[in-house]
Amino acid sequence: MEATGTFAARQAGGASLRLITKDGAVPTEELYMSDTIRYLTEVKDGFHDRSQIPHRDEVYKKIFAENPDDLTALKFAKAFAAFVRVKKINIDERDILAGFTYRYTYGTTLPVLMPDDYDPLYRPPITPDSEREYQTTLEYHGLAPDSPEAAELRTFLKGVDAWLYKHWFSGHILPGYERLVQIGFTGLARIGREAVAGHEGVRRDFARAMLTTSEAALEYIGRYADLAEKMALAAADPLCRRNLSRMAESCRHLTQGAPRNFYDALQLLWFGQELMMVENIPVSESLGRMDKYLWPFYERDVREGRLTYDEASELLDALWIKFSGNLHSYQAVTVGGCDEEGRNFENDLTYLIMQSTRKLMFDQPLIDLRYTDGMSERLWNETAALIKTGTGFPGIFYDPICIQAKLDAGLTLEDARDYAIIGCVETGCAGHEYTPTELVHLNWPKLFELMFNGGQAQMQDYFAPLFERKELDSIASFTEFYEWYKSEFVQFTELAMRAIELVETMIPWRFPTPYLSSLMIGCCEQGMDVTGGPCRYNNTGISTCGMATAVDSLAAIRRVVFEEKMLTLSEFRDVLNANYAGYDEIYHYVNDRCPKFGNDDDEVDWIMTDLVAAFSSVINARRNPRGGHYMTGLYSVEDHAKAGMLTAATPDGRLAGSFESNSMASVQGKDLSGPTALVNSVVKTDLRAAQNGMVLDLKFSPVFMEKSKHVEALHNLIDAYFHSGGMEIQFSVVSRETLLAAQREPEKYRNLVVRVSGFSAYFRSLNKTTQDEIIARTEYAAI
Amino acid sequence: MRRSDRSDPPPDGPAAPPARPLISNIQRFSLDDGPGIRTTVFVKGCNLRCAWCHNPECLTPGHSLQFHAAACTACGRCAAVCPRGCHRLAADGRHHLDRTDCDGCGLCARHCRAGALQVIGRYYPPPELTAFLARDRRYYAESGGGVTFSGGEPLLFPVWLRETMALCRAAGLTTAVDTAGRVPYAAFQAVAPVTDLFLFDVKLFTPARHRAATGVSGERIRANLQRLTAAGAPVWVRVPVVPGYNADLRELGRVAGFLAALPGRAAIKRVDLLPYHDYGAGKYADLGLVYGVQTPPPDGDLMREAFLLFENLGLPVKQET
Repeated sequence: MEATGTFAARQAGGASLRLITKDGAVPTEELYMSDTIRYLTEVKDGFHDRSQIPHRDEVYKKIFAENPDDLTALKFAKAFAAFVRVKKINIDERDILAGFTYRYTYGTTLPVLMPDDYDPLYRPPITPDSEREYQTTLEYHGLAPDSPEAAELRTFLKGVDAWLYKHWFSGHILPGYERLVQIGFTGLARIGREAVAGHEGVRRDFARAMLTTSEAALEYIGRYADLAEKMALAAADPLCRRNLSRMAESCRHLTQGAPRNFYDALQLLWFGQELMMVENIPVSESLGRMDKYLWPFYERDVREGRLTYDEASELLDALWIKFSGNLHSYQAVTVGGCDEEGRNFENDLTYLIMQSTRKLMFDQPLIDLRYTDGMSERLWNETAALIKTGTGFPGIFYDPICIQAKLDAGLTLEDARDYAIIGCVETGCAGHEYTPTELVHLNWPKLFELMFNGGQAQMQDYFAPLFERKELDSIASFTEFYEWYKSEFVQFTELAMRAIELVETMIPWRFPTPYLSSLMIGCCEQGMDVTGGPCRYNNTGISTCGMATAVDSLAAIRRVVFEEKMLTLSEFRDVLNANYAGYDEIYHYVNDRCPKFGNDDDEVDWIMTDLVAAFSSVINARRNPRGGHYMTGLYSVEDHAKAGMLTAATPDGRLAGSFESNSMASVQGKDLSGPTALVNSVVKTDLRAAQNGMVLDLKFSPVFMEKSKHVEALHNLIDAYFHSGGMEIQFSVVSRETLLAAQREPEKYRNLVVRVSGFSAYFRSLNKTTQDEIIARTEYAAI
Repeated sequence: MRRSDRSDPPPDGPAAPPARPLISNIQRFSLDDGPGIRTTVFVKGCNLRCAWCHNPECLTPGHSLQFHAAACTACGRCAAVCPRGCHRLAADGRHHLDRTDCDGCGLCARHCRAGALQVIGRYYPPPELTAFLARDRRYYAESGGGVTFSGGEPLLFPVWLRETMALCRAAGLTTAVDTAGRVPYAAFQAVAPVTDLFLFDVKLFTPARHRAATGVSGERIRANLQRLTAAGAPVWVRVPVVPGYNADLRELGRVAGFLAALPGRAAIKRVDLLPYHDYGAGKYADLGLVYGVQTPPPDGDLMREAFLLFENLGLPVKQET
């Protein structure tokens, strides 16, 4: 097949590596997919073994008991080594790459509550164990329970349980995979030995912990080499024997040296990722700019005639099958963008990566495109073809704005130009930046129920002392109410930052991650865990939730209480506490007659602009205790659904327990003036403040995407948005009918992948509120 | 149900419309009314009565009351304020609307908290409208789009239209007029200097069929198109293809033949064949009107044959891909 299989380079003696195709994307059904890949796709779900999770925990417990006096990092490292020595390994007879991963689970370090009956086919509802976190932090800092710090920590962590805040750590990282594929685990072990020799005391122990994990990784790969050799000898089928022999030879080599070719690099990359999941919570462990750091291997193999486009395609497909083992785990792959000089960067791997996702339609890995003004027509056509699949890929990031945000966050120009996507939409400098991007989200709409009720939450037993208590009916103007909201909003954000500073300083000593540290540049060299601030960049993400819900609520309060004087503030409180029951008229009025964000209406859009400016100015200006600083995120993962489930009715007409608005979008279904008006509303806010990323999701009907004229208009819409200050945009292309059918009969729609917020996931793996939220979004069409 | 909007034939001579049009809707991200991303302004008032009209709220020039029964909460506020007794709450608690005496004053809609009642029609002074249209200028610039005046029949208001489009031009926006063509030619002459593109509907050719489908003669429409193209104004001709009215090769062939024979046919930059759809049907009930067309969209084979018919005559007919 001409379209996918031939290289200019092979025909013309290596002068150029451009694939011979027209600019149009190859139709999905004509993309190359081998029989082996088809087979592996069918059997992949059978590899899971849930027994591995308790198995790991038992090994960790045993090692901790045997080494009570070690530095905590060393205990974790020894436990890691002990577990990977006995961890079940698995190779299918027809496998192309070695390795497998058990499904979504929790990490070794994050204190979480884990249900006993979790079902690996769905996502377990794991929640942070805030009591354990509270006690550990108090103990580490020697704080008395009645100290002011303990009180704030309590308000914060109880607020996490009540979803005033969301709080998470671990995961959310771009490990130094570029360095890993360049020097291998043997290289990391060499760095580790040098660091152990060069340090003393606790730094030597930290370095020893990292070295222990590198040596464990080499040993682990050796186990795969042994198994593959044995299986290759026993294999009857010539293709199986060939693939298993290649696998065995490569694994054996990787125990002794760095990758020599594209295959070695992919195999090593997978081992790197698989071992991440042994230690870290498998959330947003991201792969970085794969088309950049794998390019030298690919380019050399193709130039020297060892690899074809189709063979590379099969290897990437095989890697995608490995990624798919962890549902809903936000493993982000970044493609495109610019090089260190700022020149447009794309190559065959950019297309191959997007094509693998287009063919396989898994929810993993996430595909994110760095969009540049100079990108080729070919790349746009690949992008459009991927958008049309309805999977929500790729997330599209505008290079100039993202680079500016990284510069503002303190990165050098060269590092800023090398940014990649972490998990949903956060950006980072792979290998050099440790930024717990999901440390805190503030649930903006929750503040209304606290303010209306003297700090008492309405859907759970949670009391948050307000910074200023006010008699509701003494508030004379909207301005006075608004300033009060803004003041509480800022102070609850600051409270969270003070609380997590206590948590962050405790982490390297109580919940370290030595294997991750070994992958990050500077940790071993300085003898410090990655969580202790040894990286080039050590920032902290503080993000939002339910933004437009809060903005529309403020607009409704202004209209109903202060302009139309339909209710007093205390009467409005009664309406909300009754969840609008018996107040149909007010319910309809605030829903249908009040101004709504997302319609290019300055009367309400200014509130978003002003609140984001207030939020980001207290965040972006503050230094964190690890030598970095805080960064604002304007996105909400799927927390707008989860937080909404525990948030009382809001003044915009949202009912108690219902989802909130998604990231920077309007409230679902309230953007009635079309996509240009929504985009205009969004770009009134200075999005460069979103150093921790932002999301704008637009939903289009699949019918819309059928006309090339409409796809072209979408392209124009993206350009206009980006040239007006937009940072990220993504498209859901799935009809309401399909979603409703998938909700009714999930088994018939097992493979339906949809865009949630800054990520995509199998629709069946989402909770009902999240599903309802996606269904409720305005679906743009063109009539 | 009052049917006068649909059944009263408009006067055949030049009507005496109000000088200031009411706008029924301003549609942003409009992709089917000229090149690129556009904003389309729908003007109320039309002097054709096409059976398949999908903008029935634009038939009359005055205010129209739209009542969306599903949203009504029967709160009774409208009944309390209506000066003409059009709204009442029946003994069963349900809301009833009698439009006989309604003059579209809009008092009820201002008091409707549920959003079930809406008055359609708002006048925009040209500077205000232009400022609103300019809000999407960056999308026009990226896509080669602009603003389109449609309706209804925008050329019933040539003075207002000329002034508005002159302001749009001055603001750097490109302009298009979507017309059914049954106006004095002076209206075209008035707006041509500030119009970048005419979207000109030619629905039928055969006189009797034209009158049966649209309520009026097609003579003036054809004469205007002839003069407009002869004057060299850029035109996109739009031909709706409606089964039961013109969706046969004989009638469409006549339309094609007419276009091909125009002395100024070089001014026709594009011909679009628009398959009938019933997206407008839902609006009829909300306006107290009855929708009379019961037909599926034309089938693909017919559309393809019709396309070839135009193409074989060398007309720049476009097919959506």
